[in-house]
Amino acid sequence: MIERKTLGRTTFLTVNLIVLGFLAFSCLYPLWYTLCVSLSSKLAAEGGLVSFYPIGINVDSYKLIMNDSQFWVSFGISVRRVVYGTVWTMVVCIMMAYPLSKSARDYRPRNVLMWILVFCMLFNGGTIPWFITVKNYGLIDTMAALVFSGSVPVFNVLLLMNFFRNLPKDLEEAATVDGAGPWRILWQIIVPCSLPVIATVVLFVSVGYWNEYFQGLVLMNKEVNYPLQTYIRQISVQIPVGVTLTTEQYQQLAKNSNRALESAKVFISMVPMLIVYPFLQKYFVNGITLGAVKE
Amino acid sequence: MKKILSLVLALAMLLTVFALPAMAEDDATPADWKRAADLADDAAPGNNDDRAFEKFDHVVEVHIGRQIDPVDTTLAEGEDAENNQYTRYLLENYNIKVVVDWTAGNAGDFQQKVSTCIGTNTLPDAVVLPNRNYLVQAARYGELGDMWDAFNNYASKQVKEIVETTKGRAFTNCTVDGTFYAIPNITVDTDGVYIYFIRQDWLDKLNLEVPKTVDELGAAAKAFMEAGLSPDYAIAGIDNGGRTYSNFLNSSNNGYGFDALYQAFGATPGYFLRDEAGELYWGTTTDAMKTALTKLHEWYAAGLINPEVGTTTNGDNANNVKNGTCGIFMGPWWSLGYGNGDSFRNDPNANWQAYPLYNDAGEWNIHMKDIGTTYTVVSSKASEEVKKAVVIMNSVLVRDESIFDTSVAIDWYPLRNTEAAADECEYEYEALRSVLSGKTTVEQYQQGGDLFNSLYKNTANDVATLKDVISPEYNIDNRLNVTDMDVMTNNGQFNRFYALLIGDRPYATVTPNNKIYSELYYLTDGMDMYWTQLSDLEDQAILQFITGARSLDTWDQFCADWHAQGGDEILQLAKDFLGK
Amino acid sequence: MENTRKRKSLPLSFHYTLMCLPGYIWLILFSIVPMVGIVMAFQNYIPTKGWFESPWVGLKWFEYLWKLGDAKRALTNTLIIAVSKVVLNIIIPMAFALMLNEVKQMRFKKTVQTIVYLPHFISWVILANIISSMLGAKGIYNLIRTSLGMEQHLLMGAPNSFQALLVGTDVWKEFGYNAVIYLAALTGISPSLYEAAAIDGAGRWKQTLHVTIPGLIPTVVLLSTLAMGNVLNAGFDQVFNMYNQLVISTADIIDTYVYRIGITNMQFSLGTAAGLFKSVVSLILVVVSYSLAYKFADYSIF
Repeated sequence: MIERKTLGRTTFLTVNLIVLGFLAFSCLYPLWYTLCVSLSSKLAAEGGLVSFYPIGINVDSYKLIMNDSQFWVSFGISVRRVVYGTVWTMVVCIMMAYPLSKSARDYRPRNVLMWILVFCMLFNGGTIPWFITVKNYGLIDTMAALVFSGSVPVFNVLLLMNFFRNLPKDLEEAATVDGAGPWRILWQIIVPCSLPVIATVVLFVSVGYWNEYFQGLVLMNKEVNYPLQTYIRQISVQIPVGVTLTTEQYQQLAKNSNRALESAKVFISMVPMLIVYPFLQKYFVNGITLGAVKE
Repeated sequence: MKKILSLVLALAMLLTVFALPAMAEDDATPADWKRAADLADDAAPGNNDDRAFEKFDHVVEVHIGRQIDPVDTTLAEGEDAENNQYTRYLLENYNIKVVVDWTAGNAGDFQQKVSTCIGTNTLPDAVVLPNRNYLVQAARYGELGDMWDAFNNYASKQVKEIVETTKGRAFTNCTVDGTFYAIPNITVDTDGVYIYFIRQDWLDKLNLEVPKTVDELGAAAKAFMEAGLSPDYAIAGIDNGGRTYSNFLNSSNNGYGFDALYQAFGATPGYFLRDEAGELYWGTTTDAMKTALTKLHEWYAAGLINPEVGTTTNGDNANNVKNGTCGIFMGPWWSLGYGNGDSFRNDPNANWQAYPLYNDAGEWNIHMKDIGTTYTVVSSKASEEVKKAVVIMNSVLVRDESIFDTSVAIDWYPLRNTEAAADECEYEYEALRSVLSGKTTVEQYQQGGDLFNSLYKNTANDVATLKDVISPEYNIDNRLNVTDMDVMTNNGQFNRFYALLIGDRPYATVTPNNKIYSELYYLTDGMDMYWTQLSDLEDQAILQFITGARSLDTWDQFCADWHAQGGDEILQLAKDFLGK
Repeated sequence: MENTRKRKSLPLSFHYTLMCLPGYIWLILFSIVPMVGIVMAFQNYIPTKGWFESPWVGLKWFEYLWKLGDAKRALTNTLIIAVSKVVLNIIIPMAFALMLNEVKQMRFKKTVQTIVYLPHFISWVILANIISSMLGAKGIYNLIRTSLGMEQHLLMGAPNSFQALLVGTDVWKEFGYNAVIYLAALTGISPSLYEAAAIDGAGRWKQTLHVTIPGLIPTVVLLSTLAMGNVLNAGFDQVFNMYNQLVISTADIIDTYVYRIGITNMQFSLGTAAGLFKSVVSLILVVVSYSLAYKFADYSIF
């Protein structure tokens, strides 16, 4: 980068810094706000008095959560779901993406398989048939439902495939000459060369599993099997548009709100992702190309 | 002989001629209904040896799906929806084993689960459906079992007495295409009567009279704001997802709506009404409604109404009522106390009082609700034994509710269904006042006492706990204030007494000039095709008129749209149905 | 020896198929099998009869949808919201990446980069709640407005600006994450190009205009074509958790509409028909964009 220092340039750089600082603040604020509300007194939290710092600071909400066994059960379910789900999804998607990254000349059914994938990305039977299917497999109330019922994340397969496709061909050719079979090429050459895109997809997949609540709601019959997001959604009592309530439900709604406690739960639910993500971050800073940049 | 016979026949015919129209008008009770009056008295609470309360000789499992309260703290360690004092009581006394197939943690999730069950034909043995739409759909799909025999034969005398107070409307409600599918839910009439709540202590401080009309209420609201008592806004409104009025499908319990105000303008939005000529019309698209909305918009523009009406979430609409910075809102009798205990826990001197809102002619017109809201149904796959068990569970709750340990929330009772005499609250109001004044004693209301009445099941316990809450210094001739009550010692009963003695006082003491019923309380065949569209149109337009997002100049356009987009069809369907 | 010969005798495509197998079994079990339910769109679905015995009604539900004002409104809203999201989710992250690229203070750059990813990790269930408090009467947004002497502005209840709010919050949530791709592409631009431009007398602006942006074009093309499949995906989670009666006229999208008629009102067949309509349109758009990309950019996205 070659530049000259001019007045315009300096002004631009200052404005640039301010704008970026503001953007960063706007992204940090929701977390900070949640933390502040969770540390405030119930009265201040509900009165909407909290905006920049906790009011009536206390840790009662966190003490309550410590004793809330269901919260930790759900937390554990979510952690296991992310671990199982991410490992399974990554292995399966990588194995799918590699053959699909070959041209139709090298692997004949490739185009057909590809369009099946695209078709599945766009079409679905809707909630009811999907529920019946999962139920018929006997997966209601199981961890397997939380891991498998979302089916193949097609978009992620496409990302992997595009990256594989743009890896230099000579790598593979050299390996073939050395007598390596397709499996060894995939795991010992392709995968190590694709760490940036794999890190990205790992993050996509794990965030997806962690934040998903709908499957938990529909496929889990007992609250003890709820993943964390489903658990949190049900306590943040909300009336969906178009739904009307009975007396008991209205009374429950009126009785239960405890903003400070809800915020504490929300905040804890965000912590694991905040911890995991810096580890993965260094990979994408090193450069993701997603197969996009053509030479 | 022949003469006598023909005379008798003629007399009989005459009788039928006179008796029938009266029957047809008031009473839709099926002919084979076994009346309470003809039945032997029920067994005493806890007993299990008569017709209605027979213990099964083997364990009968009842699979249910239910809503639970995810933040409830009243269950003991290790207890859950399947194992608590209520389920154990049913198992020990009646050999009914409750198996909870699924639970959902809030209203939206529960409805989602029920819809999925209906869509996949996987309803559990029994479930409490949240509104009649579900009943009709599930019945039409053939997923529900006929409950007539079980209910007619095994419902307790007490339940039957309550059902009979509805003059057959309970039967009509639970019947779809000629088959009786559900145990009726019968709630108190006052659930649909809307009043307004106001901070009396603020009125006193500002030397204001109790507002009677809309304009006086508006003046009070303005005064509250000008005096700095309500810095944000004076009148609270609905949350996201709520409606500003209760319509024919959900005709009761509309907390924080503006129903009382519409009534005072002579508008009954969301109801099927008849004009003087007997012609059916829709209550929303009227001039009175436009006038009411003009007033509401005026209030909104002046900052009197919560500027965030309809967009707050998580019950935030009630925040200012709870923290003592808002002094007016409208709702049914239980809106404070039962509905919002925090207001008094935060400030035990917040002297909220409830009053009727009159129209300019000084009349109080009230909105009458449907019999009930929910429907306890049994799956078509369930056995006769299960049906009987479900009927017993309902009878047991109605009879024994007041003897259960109230420290465990009654919501945990499986298939909880409210069955209350329509005037239960007013009866209790009188009974409690009578005990307070010393005219009657606590003992007279207990079982065996001369004022004991099984129809009003909570009275015995209520009169006995009155002394925990109401100060002995309270003089019965004065208005009951919150300051006369002990908020914290027995908070559960405080909430109840507040709602009964202050919240229900208007309906218990003021005779309404007109009671307005909807001609229909549910969607008839074919209406569902238009209803989603119409209710979306109406709900959003009304809120937008209030906030000014849509100008009231377009009111005529709205009415025309309503009629064009299916309103005419729905009115015609209603006419055809009612004409039958 | 025996072993090697045997392995060699198996064709490469056999191994490839074996690799694909777990994925496709998964796909068949959880995506393709449930698609049987699509027949509901052409039936009067009755749960007790299932998909094989419910009566057929042909295109009745599609004709009915066509007549419904709500369905048309949902389609229009979906298109407006989704297209704006697609466009802005490409442009804004690119602008952000360019701006970040200008920053010389490495520590500041790193910190900003780390922070702006955060909203991506928060689900809409949670974020919608936070946003509605932030934009509420006592939220930070109105706090700032009133302290600047401006009037209170309640965005959550304003139908006219709600679509902008939906698009804005979505872009805000994802811009940091989406910028990653551009940042990567920026590092891929050869420094020699800048040097050459500088020798030709190009200033910083000119360099950006003639070197940086053209370097990013391939990335933009790829992302745009990939995004075409999303043109009818306006984001169910976001809208479902953020909308309300006041703004339903501008916020209702096909997915929330399907949810309301299908699940809340239990008109299962009608809901399926609306969903199927959306899928078909998406498929057409994807095929078109695929062919365009192939023809003009000689790039096969799949």
